[in-house]
Order: sequence, then C-alpha cells, then structure tokens
Amino acid sequence: MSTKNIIKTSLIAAALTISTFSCKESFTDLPLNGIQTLDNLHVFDTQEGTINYVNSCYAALNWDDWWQVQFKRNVFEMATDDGWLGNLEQWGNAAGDLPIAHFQGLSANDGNVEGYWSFNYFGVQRVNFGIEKIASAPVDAALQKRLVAEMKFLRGWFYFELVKNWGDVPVYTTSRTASDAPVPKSPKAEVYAQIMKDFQEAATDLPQRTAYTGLDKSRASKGAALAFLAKAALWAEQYDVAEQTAKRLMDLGEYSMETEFGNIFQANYYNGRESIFEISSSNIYGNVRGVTAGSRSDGGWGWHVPSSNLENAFLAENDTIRMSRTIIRHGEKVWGDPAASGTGIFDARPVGNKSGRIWRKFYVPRAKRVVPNQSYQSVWVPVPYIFIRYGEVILIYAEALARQGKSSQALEALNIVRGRVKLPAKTGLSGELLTDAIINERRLELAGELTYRWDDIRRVQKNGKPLIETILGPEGSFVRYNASSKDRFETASNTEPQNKGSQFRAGVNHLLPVPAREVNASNGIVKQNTGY
Amino acid sequence: MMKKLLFCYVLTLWMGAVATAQNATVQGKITDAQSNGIPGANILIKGTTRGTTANANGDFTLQADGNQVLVISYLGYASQEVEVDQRSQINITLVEDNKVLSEVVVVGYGETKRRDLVSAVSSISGKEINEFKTGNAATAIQGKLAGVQVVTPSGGPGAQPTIYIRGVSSLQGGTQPLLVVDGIPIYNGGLNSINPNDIASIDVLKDASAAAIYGAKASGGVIVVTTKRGQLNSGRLDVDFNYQMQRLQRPYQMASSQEYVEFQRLKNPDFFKTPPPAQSLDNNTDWWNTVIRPTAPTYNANISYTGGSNKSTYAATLGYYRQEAQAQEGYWQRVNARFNGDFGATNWLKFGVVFAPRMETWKNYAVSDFLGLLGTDPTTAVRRGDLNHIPADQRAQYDLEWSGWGYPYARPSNNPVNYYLAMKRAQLAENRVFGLQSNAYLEIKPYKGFTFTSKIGGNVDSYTTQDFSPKYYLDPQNFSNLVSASSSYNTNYSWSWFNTLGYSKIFAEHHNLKVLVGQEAQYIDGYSGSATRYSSSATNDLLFNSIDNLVSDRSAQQIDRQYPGTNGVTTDINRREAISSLLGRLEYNYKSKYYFTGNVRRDGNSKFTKTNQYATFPSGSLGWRISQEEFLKSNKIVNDLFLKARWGQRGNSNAIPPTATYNIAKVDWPYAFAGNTVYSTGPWLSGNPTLQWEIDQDFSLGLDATTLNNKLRLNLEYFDNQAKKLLLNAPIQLSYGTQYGWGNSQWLNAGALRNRGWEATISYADTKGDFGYSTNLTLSHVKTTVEQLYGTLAFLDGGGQDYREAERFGTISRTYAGGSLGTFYGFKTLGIFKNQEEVNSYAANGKQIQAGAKPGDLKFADLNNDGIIDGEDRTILGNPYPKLTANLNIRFNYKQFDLTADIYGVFGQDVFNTVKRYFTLGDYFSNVEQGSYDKVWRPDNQNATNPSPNATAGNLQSSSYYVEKGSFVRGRNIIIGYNLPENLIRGIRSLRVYAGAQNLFTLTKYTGVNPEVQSNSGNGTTSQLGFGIDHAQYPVSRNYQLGLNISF
Repeated sequence: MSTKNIIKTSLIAAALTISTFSCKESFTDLPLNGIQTLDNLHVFDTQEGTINYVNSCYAALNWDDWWQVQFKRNVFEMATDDGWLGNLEQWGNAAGDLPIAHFQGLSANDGNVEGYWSFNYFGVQRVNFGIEKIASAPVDAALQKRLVAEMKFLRGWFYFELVKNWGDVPVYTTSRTASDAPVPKSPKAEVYAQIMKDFQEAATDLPQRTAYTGLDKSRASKGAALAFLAKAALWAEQYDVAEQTAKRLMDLGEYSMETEFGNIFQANYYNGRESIFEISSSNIYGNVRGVTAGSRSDGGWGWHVPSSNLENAFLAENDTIRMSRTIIRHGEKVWGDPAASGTGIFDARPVGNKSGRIWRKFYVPRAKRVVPNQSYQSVWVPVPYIFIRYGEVILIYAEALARQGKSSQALEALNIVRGRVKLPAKTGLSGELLTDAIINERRLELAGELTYRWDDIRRVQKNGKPLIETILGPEGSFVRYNASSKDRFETASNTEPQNKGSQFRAGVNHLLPVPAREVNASNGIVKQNTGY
Repeated sequence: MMKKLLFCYVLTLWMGAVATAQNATVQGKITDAQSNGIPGANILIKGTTRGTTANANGDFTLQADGNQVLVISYLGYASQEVEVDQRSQINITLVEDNKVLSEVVVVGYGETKRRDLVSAVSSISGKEINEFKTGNAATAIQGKLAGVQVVTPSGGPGAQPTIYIRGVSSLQGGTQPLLVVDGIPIYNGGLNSINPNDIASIDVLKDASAAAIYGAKASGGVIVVTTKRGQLNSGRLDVDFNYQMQRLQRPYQMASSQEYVEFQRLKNPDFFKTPPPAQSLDNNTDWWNTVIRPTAPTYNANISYTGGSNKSTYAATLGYYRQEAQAQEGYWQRVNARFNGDFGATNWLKFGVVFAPRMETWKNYAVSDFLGLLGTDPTTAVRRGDLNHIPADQRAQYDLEWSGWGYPYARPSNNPVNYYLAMKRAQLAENRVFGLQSNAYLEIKPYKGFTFTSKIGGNVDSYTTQDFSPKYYLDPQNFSNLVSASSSYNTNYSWSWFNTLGYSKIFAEHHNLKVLVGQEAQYIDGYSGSATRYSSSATNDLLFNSIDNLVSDRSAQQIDRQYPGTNGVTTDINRREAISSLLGRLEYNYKSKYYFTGNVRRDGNSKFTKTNQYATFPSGSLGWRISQEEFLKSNKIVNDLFLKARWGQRGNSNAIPPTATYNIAKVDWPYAFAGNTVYSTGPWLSGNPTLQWEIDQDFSLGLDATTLNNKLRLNLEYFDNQAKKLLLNAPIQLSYGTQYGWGNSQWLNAGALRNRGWEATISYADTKGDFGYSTNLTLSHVKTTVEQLYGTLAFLDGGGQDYREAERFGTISRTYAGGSLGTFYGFKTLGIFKNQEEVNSYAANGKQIQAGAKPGDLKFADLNNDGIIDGEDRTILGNPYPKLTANLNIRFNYKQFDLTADIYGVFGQDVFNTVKRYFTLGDYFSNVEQGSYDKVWRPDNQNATNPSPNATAGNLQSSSYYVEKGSFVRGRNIIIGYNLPENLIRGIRSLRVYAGAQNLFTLTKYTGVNPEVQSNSGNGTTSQLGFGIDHAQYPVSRNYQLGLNISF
C-alpha cells in the first residue's frame, strides 16, 4: 500500500470511527429539556410532594382563572329568574353565553357546556390518579388516610356538579388513558350512589375542622363531607339520609349562624363560623365574582346582575335585611360601605347594566380594596368563595323533614334561618305549601351564591315537572313577569332581550346536552341527552 | 424466427470480437462542452456492430482499423462521426441536442443526469426563479412545477407561502416540505432565509423513491436548494437592481355615513337617533385612506462575484431586499451574504465551505384585520384625544363620548387610527432575526470508482424583539396604568452530519452500477426567554434599549396580581430532537434502457419512546427507456420515451412535539388556604408512550416523451400516496380528563389519508433565425381523501378565526372519514323567504319546518326530511382544495429583446366568504359595502338578492350562502427585457434592462377580495382544516417593476 493510500484509508477510517458515535442508538435517547413531569418532579416520592399533589386536586375546584368554571357558574345563574347577563356595553361578547343564559339554541356544541363538563372531569381524573399513586407514596398511614379522604370528598364534589347538570354521566373511579375503551353513562341513581359513597367515606376518615391548624383549616373536613352528603342525599331524594346527616353535622357543634347576615361574605374573612367549606380567597386567587359581576363604573365587568324579579321576591317577604345585603341598586347606598363610589351613592352604570343592580355579596367595600377607595385593580377579590354554609344545612334539614311529613320540626328549622334576619316565624304550613316556603327561603337566603337557584329550579318538582318549566318557556312566570314589567332599569333597553327564557324547551333544557365531542369521541357509546 | 435472429446476432458479435483482435488499439475520452467525461457514451464502428461504452470517466478503448469511422452517440447529445485516421488517441466533445436530459438533478446525497432519473423530481433553474422578483423563492415557483402547490401568503411583507407537494400529507402539522440547502436540512427560517438571487437551482423531490433517502423529515416532499458556486477558470461580477411599486386597490367601496346609518336602522330603528357626541353623519370617514397607502415600494439589490482558478472555485454574494407594507406602518427587510468555496487540494481530495449569514428585520403588525379597518363605522371621527393617558378623573367623560353606537369598531380601542397607527406605533419595535447557515465538506476519491463524502452543517436563527407599552387608556376594558417594557429572544438551531461512501462502475460495458451507503445524525434544538418590567413612573419614551434601567416600582407579588399567571415556570416548549439514520441506495441501468433503483433508510427519532424509536423504510423504482429499444431506436419521430414506476415508504414524525410521550406537570396550580395562595403540582398534559412512526406509502408512474426533434417535451405523472398510522392529536373523550385545556385531545396513531392525482408538463421550444420562442404548460390535479379517522363518528372541525366567527358560524369546515379535507359544512340554502306566506308555507305535518324563521331569512333545506331544520340538516357545501392548478409560461426573444409571461390558474375550489356577514349584512355594527342597503331584503324590497340583516341568527350560520366558486386566472408576471448590444457596452460582459408587472390582472367570479385564500390556523384548528376560509386577508397587490442586470 502506498503512503498516499494509507493516508486516504486512515482519513476515511477516522471519519467513520467518529461518525459511529452519532450513529449509536443512544444518540436518540434525549433527556427532557426543561419540561417538568410528575416523574421528574418526584411528586409521589416525598410526603411534601404528595400533599402538594393533593393540593392540586383542590385547585380543580376553581382552576386558576375566571373562565374555566367560575364564570360558567355565573352563566348558569344568568339563566334563572334571579339574574340577567347584564353587560349591555359589550353585548357582542354575550353571544357565547346566550344559549344557556337565554336558552337560545342550546346545542351539544355549546362552549360553556363543553367547558364545564371537561373541567369537572379534569378534577375527577386528577383525583383518581392521585388515589392510585398515593398507595405507594412514602406517607405515614394516618396522613395517607386523610389525603385519600380529601380526594374522595373532591371527587364527590365533581360528580355532584356533573349529575346535577347532566343526569346520567360516565363514572370512573380509576384514572383514564387515551387508549381506554369508552364506557356508557351510569344511571343517575348510580352516580348518586358513588357520590354519597365518596362523601360518606370522606366523613368517616376526615378530621373535624377544629382538629386542623393554620392553613389546613381551609381543607375538607368531616363537617364539609357531612354537609355535602346531606345535600347530595336531598338531591337523590333520600330524605331520611339527608335529615340524619344534617343532624349529625349540627350535633358536631362546630358551626353556627353568623348573627349579622351581611358578615358571611366579609372581605378577608376566612373559615368563619357559618362557613363549612370554602376557598379562602385572597387578592391573588380564589374569587372573581366581585369583578366579573361588578359595576362597569367600578372596574367591574358587569356580567351576571340580579333581576328585579328577585328583588320583588325579597319585597314580597318584606325581607329588607337580606335584600340590602344581597343587591346593590343604582343610585342608592351600599350596605356596609359608606364610601361606595366616593359619594356613598352607588353607580351601577345603568347604561351598561340591564337591571341597574349588582350583587352585594361579592362586593368589596372600597376601604378594603387593594388600592383603597379605587376601583377594582385585578380580577380577584378577597371575599370567601363559600361552597356550603351552615345556613344552607339548616334549610336542607328543614326540607328533608318537610318532605318526610315532619312539618313541625321542619318549621322549627326554617324559622332559625328566618329569625336571623328578623322575619316572622312561619307557622301552620305543611305539605307542598311548606316545601314551597322552604324553596323560597332558599332563594332569598342563598341568592347569587354559586348555582343555587339554577340547581333548585331544576331539582324541585312541581306537578311532576321541574320547577324551571313553570318559570321559563313561552308561558313561564318569569317570562310573563318581564313582559309586563315596569322596572325602570330593565325596560330601558332591549339590548339584552326582555323575553329571556321564552325559548326554553320543556322536557329538554332542564338538563344540559352532553358535549358533541364526548359523544363522537366515544363513537356513540356515551349517549346524548333527550332532545339534543 | 426470433430465435434465429438472436442466434445471428450473437454470432455476429462473436465474429466481430474475433476480428477486432487483429486491429490496432484506439483510446480516447468522450466529454461534454464543460470537459466532463460522459460515462456510458456509445462508440460504434460504422458499418459494423462492434463498439464499446465509455467508462465512468468517459474513457474508452477499442480495437479499430485506421481507416474506419467511429460513431459516437449518447442520449441527449447529437451523434458524431469521426474517422480514426490512423490515430491511436481520439478525444471527442459531444454537443447537447436535448438540454433537459443532460441537466444535473440533485437527488439525496448526490446528483444524477435527468436522463437517468427514474424518480419524480421537478427542477427549476435559478435564472427562472429570478425572473419573478420576490423575497421568497416559493412565490417565484408558484405554478411552475407540476405537483407543487404554492399558496401565497396573507399578512403582508415577510409572510411565508404555504407549499404542498402532491397534496396535503398530514392532517395536523408537518405538511411543509423538508428544505435542504446545499445538502443540509434547514429547519428554521424557511425560504425567507435564502436570497433567491443566490439560488442556482431548486429540485423538488416529489415521490418516495426520490425523497425517502432524506428520511423521516421528508414525508411532505423535499425542496432541494443548490446555491451558486464558482466555475473553474472564470471570473464574473454580477450586479442586479430591482425596484417595485406595489399598488393596492381598495378591495371594497364602503357605504357613506348616511347609508351606514340607514342600514343599521334596519336592525335597530333607534340606531343613531341620538348621535353620540363624537360622531356625525358628516364625518364619512374613509378608514381605508387613513391607514393604507396606495403605493408602497420594494427594493432589491444584489452583487455577486463568482470565479475560480486552478482547482478552486468560489462565489461571494451580497443581497438586500426591503418591502414596505401597504399599511402606514410595517416592512420586511433582509440582508444576506454568502460565501461558497470549493477547493481541490489534490486530485483525490477536495473540500469546501458554505458560509451564509443573514439579518431580517421587520415590523408588521399594522393591518392584518381588513374587516376591522373597513368595517369601522364611518360616522366616527378619525381620531380623538391623546390616548397615551387619560387621567382617571377624565375617563368618565371620555367614555361617555365614545360609548356610541358604533360598537364594536368605534370604540377607541378599535378605532383603526388610534389602535393601529398610534397604539401599535407606540408599542412596536423591530423584530430581528440573525441567521447563519453554514456547512463544510470533505470529498475523497481513494480508489477508482469510490467517493467518500463527509459533510457537516448547521444553521441557527436568533430572533429578538423588544416591546414597549406606554400608559394608555382606550376604554374601561383596555387600559394600562403602567409603563411596560419587555424583551424576548428565541433561538432555534440544528446541525446535521452525514458520511457517505459511493461506488460507481460500469461492468461489461453496459451495466452501470452506483452504490451509496451512509450514515447521518441530526440534532434540532432551541431556547427562548423573555422579561418584562413595569413602572408607573417612567416616561413614555421608547426606551427599548434600556429595559434594564426601568426600575420596577411594584413588588413581584403586585405584578403577579396585575398579571396573574406570569410567574408560572411550566412550559411546553421543548424543541430538542435527535435523529440518527443509516441509508443505502443502489442504482443500476443497462444501456440507459432498463433502470432499477433501490433505497433503504433506517431512522431513529428521539420523539418516540425507546422501544418505538427506530424503523426502516424501503423504496425503489423501475424505468424502461422504450426509445432505446431496437424497434424505436431508428425512428425519427420519438426522440425519447421513458416509462417509470416507483414505490416507497417514508416515516413521519413531524406532527408530534418532542413531549408527546411524556406526562407533563404544572407546578403552579393555585389554591387559597386561609387567605394564602398555595401553589401546587399537578398533571397538565398526558403523554402517549405507545406512539409510533406514521407511514407514508407512495406509488407513482411517470412517462417522459420527447418528439419533433426534441422540440416538444411531455411529462406525465400519476400518483397514489397513502399515509397510514397517521399521527393525530385526536379529540378523545372529554371525560377522560387527560389533557388540561379546552377540550381533551391526545396524540394517537389513528387514521389514514390518501392523495391521488396526476400532473402534466408540456413544453415546446423553437428558434427561427433571430426569433426564438418557447411555451411551457404545467397542470396538476390532486384529490385528498381522509380514509379513516380515529373513530366512526369522529370528525375534525375547523374554521372560526376568532370568537366572533366561532360563536356564530360555529363549524365552518369538517373533515371526516371517507370525505375530503377541510370541506365546508353547513346548511344548504333554498333562497330567501320573501314574505310571511312563504314562511308559513314551508311546513310539514302542520308545523313550520324552519322554526323561528322570519321573512328575509335564508331558507334552509330539510335534507333529512324530518320536518325540522336542525344540526342534522347540515351537509358538505364545498371543497376548498382546487381540482386543477395550471400555469402557462411563454417566452419570446428577438435579437436584443426578450419577453416572458406567466399566467396562473387555479380551478374548481370553493371559498367560504365570511366577509359577507359584515360587509353585506352589517353584523356587529360593521359598515357595509356601498349599495348594500339596496341589495338586502326589506319589507319594501322582497326580491332582494341578500337576506335581511335583521333576521334570526340562522342567516349567520354556516350555509351555502357564504360559499362561492373560487376559480381564478391571474396574470402573474410579465417582463420585457433589452440586452444592450456589445458595441455599446465596451468593457462590460452584458447589460440588461427590464420592466415588468406582477399580478397585473385576476379573472374570477369570486366576490371577495382575493380568491387565493391561504389557510388560517386560528381558533385551535390546524391550517389544513381551515383552508379557503376568507377572513379578508391581506390582499394581493399589483406590482410594477424596473430592473437592471450588469455583468462584468
């Protein structure tokens, strides 16, 4: 071999040798770059990481912004006789909410429907995955038991939201992966059975709130689980369970009624004696309703405002205490906030507000704003986001008794709630008149909170049909009320149509449609609700 | 009989061989005009059947008598006869008679003559690319290459065209072809990163047998760009100037204030009864003129020097391109430089380098929304007030004046002048990209027939931008009390290294064999970052460069409150990808008559989990040059006839992100415990570890024919490509809850896609004295079918660009198994309900079929005959993809003059014209096109062509009312040039001046601005599914140009 050939050959050999390094299969084994996974974060490898994961299950109650679930709950309430969409100045943006809020062409492709369904199932998946993983996590047995119970409580909560809105739904108690085969919907009764099982087990394993310390006081406790168990039992029409469970909670002696109704929703007030389970919201996170439903002249967005119909319901009972602590009227003083609008006279900006009213319950007095005496600066307000409170448990107890014919006990309970707001005791009622009175009391006591009215008018049956069918639809009481309304605010503009709810479809709209994408992706195994 | 002939033939050959033994040896070399040897050239002794074939270097040896005559022939060259004349050394130069066949075509990791090309490759020379002066070569090749569809961009200067090669190869992402520049794949910057003036040729690899050698990134085809290199013993300086004047025609004449108000009163009788303080019928604001400049220039200048001496050649170029936007604000500018050098160190070792830096800068925000611009109500005055900062105590008055009727467009934040010109001017800084493409290679020819090549190259694109926002107050929803300055960067880079060993030999005179084996490694990565500072006290100066000097006067916690979520550290940006490949190719032909090519490539990609990373993809082709058969060889009609068949597989992993198989967590899920925000760690997106390579399988046939003395050329292609195990981000059951966000989708190997079609290229060229002319016609047809999706009920929706569209139109396009891609979907209209009687009579079983319909509404067909119009009555309304794409190129030259013209046509596609909703029906208080009032249904105009603007939402749902035929024919380019005669330009090699026009005319029945609608990828849909939906995109301007080329 000549020298030249040796050079040539060694050049090639060298190149080939070097190149085999990049040729190795390990070349394509790349570590993740700046991406965090549950594995590389070692979430279930420490006690702290495990608690951290369970906290993320709580985050699924409200997520991290206004648009995922919080606003959707407002949209549901917009659909009732308690509220309007409200914001006339950005009415173009209302189009996405009209299918629910006004029952205008509600379809299986509705964005709010798809969103609320999805975000609750994200929560379910998160809990199921957590319960599976925690079994082998290095967490001491007592803590593990508590954490599992907390997650079960949350799972019960997610399924409760699902069953209330959709009826039959698919139930998973193990985590899902993309390749899992679809399963059909479980009948409503089975969904309730699962919910009550979760709440029951949570109630057994969770400590009382008094046993928690510090920040943990906001975690799910025995009381929270009992309260929701009672509530779910009422929805499932298991009135005896509802009665007994509510009683168990009351007997804990842990919770009591605030003497001043308006103090329940005070700013920066956490885990008060009436609040049983809440998000202890701050200026950074938790509650957006003060702003999303706030006056547009006050840095608010003006979506979801109280109706004059609700106001009249207060007036019919002469319930001025709760009215003043629930509704702020344009041009009037704000209860508990002498500095409202700087002048004490509130500007609800009627040109941009269908009803000229806003909610007091989530309003932050101006002295307590981030920048005192200024309009809202961010979307979060530090008013507790209460999921269930003692006042409601009393009413659940009252209703459960009433529905079992235990009228006198029921009246006794009902009058606890009325007594706080200086209303005369109801007497002598029984049967349907009594339950009607309790449902009306729920309306006045819980107005604007979460989705109480939306849930009640679809749950409560009137002549074998849900109450909503007597309120909405072409001949609905609320539709007729608005047609002849003389309310100076609500009749000033038809930008938000006065005939809200007239297109409600009886027999169909009391449940939401299953999202079309759910039905399609399951190849039709998850069936659509009737009429959609 | 056949047997006898064959026997005679063999006998003659044998006898000939015996006879030659007594003759003298003649040696020689057959070369082309560039002194390159012509391997395989035939040398035949006239009057005998004796002969030989030149070897790989063009050398031959033959026994011949001193007085015999040699006939030398080779495909694509004129035959020559040479007397031996007692010589023992004879060198012959052959002259091309069919330029096309002797063209060099770049195929993966090598090149070949077009004559020997069996796979489907379309080529275009740099000269032809440069006839269409543009900043992006893709625009220049539109229509010119059969099977290559280029859709010109929306969005103004610097926007990149979309390229589809033989149809849409994937449902989601990854449809763009692989760009290979001088052998190195370029993953960033697209064709914008290359100065068209630097391009020597572009070869588009269309089928698997051509592209598969490039492996996993090549499933959408490959665009191979070869840049200019120097020539031996030459030196040439070229200078090139081009100036263009872009003229944008007003796409719509909008209504006057008076007509606008009358029109809106059709919907709301109280409209403008009390005009808001700042608005007036006298305003008649012409928003077009306030924001759009009627003409905007483009400048383009290039200098290049190419040369070479001894064994080394080089090319150095510098280019500048600047295109001004038609809006008052915005431009795109690029400076490119390039050095290409090739150095023949010894006769067996050669190396070379490419070094090509560039800088792009652009500002391009101004007007992307022509709807917003033209639709703004004309009663609004052009501009009011200093929007920089309305003090808090003056806001109420300001709001009052501006909360007029003209929602949404009259709101100060939407006022085009306030928003686009003032606000964006205040906020925008330049975007910059510094890019570098570079490679180096080493080529060793150690032994006869062997070539070893090692090439390493990389490219890096570094993007930076700085934004500044002053304090401003536009309306209660759109204001800032803080000054903010932000800076961000985004760097993408990749490198590639391949080593190949080639072997080439001619066996037994006629058996041509080439073998190539090799290995390649590629690595792609990138990183990005951004920072923002806020201040309530800084001035509104544009202190972009001193962002770090802006002292933030708010604590991190407060910033977090103002801008929640900005402290999150979770990111889904992971661009890291490693690809390792082995490749092999065998090419064989017998007498340029029978061809076989086989490829195999084994690819591994880090995107898959370890068990699924590697897969092997074979491909191959067969060719039969019928014209080389004896029965055609002597005929005068057919010059060349070549039939080809190919099959192959390519892998595809383009669609999935590198994170597709991982369970990704988010560490900042917030929750509030007792008034304290606690951040927690929870799942975010679930991965699918079972993902595998998507497989694209191609079959195609090709036929080349040349006739009439090589003047008429014809290429016909048929292809049938199927993508299987399609990587889809499929919407799985929402209730699985595996992917946080809107909806629930997961990457799956699900579905199949098929592209079938044909292509034809017909060209004719001739010269008569001083007069030369040629024409070239290309035709392409492709039909895309979605054969399978992830489930039987499954479909993919596309369409709505923004919330306004999505909520009213809902689904615009639908893609489902068995159907085409992105077809328009909605109600079929049967006209307009003229009056209440017509509404009442549209009934079945005593019930109205179209519930809630009013006179003036569109009447929808009850397609499923169930007596009610609902979602089930929606149907396919049109196909956005064309049935035929055609281009006709004509050239003339006469003495010093030359002329070239291109006419481009796209036929059979539909366009969904969303603009009608605004400019015809005045939705969202939009202004309307002039004369719309007379054309819409009104009680006193019941025979109107357009429905009532005051109708139910049905008129605004997706329906055939919005679907129009989109066929068009466009005069794309015409250039007349004059080459100054030599006696006038002493000392100069050549000087050419030219003038021309682009987009001179468009013939179409489409009523919108521009029937050539690029995809929009808004609203979470991929561009393939949102194709052909017109949202009033940036119109095509007509360009007039002047230019000068000087060569020294």
